[in-house]
Amino acid sequence: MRSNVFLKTLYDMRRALFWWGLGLFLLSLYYITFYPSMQESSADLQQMLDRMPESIRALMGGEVDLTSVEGFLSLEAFSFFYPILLLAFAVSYGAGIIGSEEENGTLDLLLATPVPRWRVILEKFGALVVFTVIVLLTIYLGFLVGAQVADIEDMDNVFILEGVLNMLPITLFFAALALFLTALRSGGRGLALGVTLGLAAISYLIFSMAEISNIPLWLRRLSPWHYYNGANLAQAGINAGHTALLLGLTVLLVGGSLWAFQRRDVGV
Amino acid sequence: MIIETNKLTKYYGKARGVIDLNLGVEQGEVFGFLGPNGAGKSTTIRVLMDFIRPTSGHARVLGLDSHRDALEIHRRVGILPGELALYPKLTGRQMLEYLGELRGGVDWGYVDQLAERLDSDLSRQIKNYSSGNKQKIGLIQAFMHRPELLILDEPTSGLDPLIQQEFYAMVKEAKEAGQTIFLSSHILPEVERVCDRVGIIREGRLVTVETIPAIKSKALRHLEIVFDGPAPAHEFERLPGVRDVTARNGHLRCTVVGTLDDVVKVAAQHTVVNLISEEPNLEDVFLTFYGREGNHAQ
Repeated sequence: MRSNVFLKTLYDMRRALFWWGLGLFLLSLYYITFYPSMQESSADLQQMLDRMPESIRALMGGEVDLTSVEGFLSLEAFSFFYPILLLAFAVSYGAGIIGSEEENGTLDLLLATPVPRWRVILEKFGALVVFTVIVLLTIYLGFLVGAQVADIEDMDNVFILEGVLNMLPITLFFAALALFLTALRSGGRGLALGVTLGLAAISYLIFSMAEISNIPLWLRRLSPWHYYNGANLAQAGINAGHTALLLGLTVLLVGGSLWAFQRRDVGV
Repeated sequence: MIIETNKLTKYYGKARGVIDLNLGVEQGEVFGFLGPNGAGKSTTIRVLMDFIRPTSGHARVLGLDSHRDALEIHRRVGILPGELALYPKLTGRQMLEYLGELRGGVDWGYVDQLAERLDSDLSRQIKNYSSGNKQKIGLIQAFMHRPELLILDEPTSGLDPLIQQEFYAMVKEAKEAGQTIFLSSHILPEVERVCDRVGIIREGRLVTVETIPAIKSKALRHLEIVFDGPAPAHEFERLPGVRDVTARNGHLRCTVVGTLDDVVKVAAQHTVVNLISEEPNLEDVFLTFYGREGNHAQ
């Protein structure tokens, strides 16, 4: 049950996992049941959307298609509402991978065992990945069950699964960023948490305002959200290059954390 | 040498940790690391465990480099950290199981034996433990893999006197089994009781390393003798090693360096109602080794 750092971390997460999983399952179930009523008026809505200025449509993620359940979820769920919920726990766990045990003082006993520092980080980050994937699957399950409940028949289940899993790279990226900031110096958990969430918010603004406010392309490209683009998922599909970039940056940040944490004093 | 530091210096920014520390602990001895709180004891120990890195100088443990060979050192050392923190939601047993698993398994018969000796209830959640009960878990996890070297930072803090006695017995047995023990403390009688040698640290610098008999022979001791009649102060004033003699009615107070033998023999020529000898405290020991600073204080 707790025979290594990975399993111990998952064991510690079990209650949080239960509540996050249950909460997001129910939310997703509830969420998708709105689609049929939306669809009834979708022709009107779509007309209205099509008449909107291009800049407003851009803010909503470019070309908008509310006439399909996939378009509805892309715009309403995947664009930023679900990613923000996921970031709420992932960033806080990311900042806690080193930060919590260092703050509580238990890191001394853990590092006094023959487990290398890099393995402590990798195993804990691995537990966070498993946690996130399980939560994503409960979201997917919520959509599936909700579609049954609401008699939505034409849903593309594979697309929904892709859309849900597409949130993994951006979530892990910000979690890894928080981890990296705590690996740099001692006692920076709160700061790392705040800075990461702040960066997530600012970079989202840069991304979402880009189309209407002439934000230069190079600046847009600095925003991680540029490579996520959940709102546009129904039209554009998953961009393999962008996904690989976010995952690559995540690996870099985790690797940088291993490097930095190996070199610094602990618990000072 | 089991522990060897060479000009070990650690600063936290501008704050002093330890300065130019040269320490040598021999195989199989019980070495006391004595100093007041904040003197640099925990800093030294945390460098030995590679939790923090020296600003300059270096440390070797079991003949290995404290940084480069940290994992091998961790495998062969048991440590009780000075500021012990455990996982509050685990029970004592779960905590020990986790640490044991990370060490690749330990002998549970031995763990239970240690728990019984220290009267430690492993079944309760750690958040319900008193500080003494937490300390017991800290001691068990340090001893449980029978390490070659035990590094114990203030091991008796929070323990009640009976358990302290049991701990002293465990130290003695560990020594007999060939284990080396490095024990930090700010309590002189404790160090006197279990250690072979003691290193005294103050404000980050190693003041001296002495054997226990040498410390005792140098230690200042405050003595009060109550006589059945006027105190014969003049008889004590001329004794070697006796200082600061004051007498009021039947009460005689003085400070004695080293053995009390002469004083007791002189006192025995009169009727002694009471004799109170205080254990020398750490400050008194420092006064001995820092007569100069002691004079400043006066």
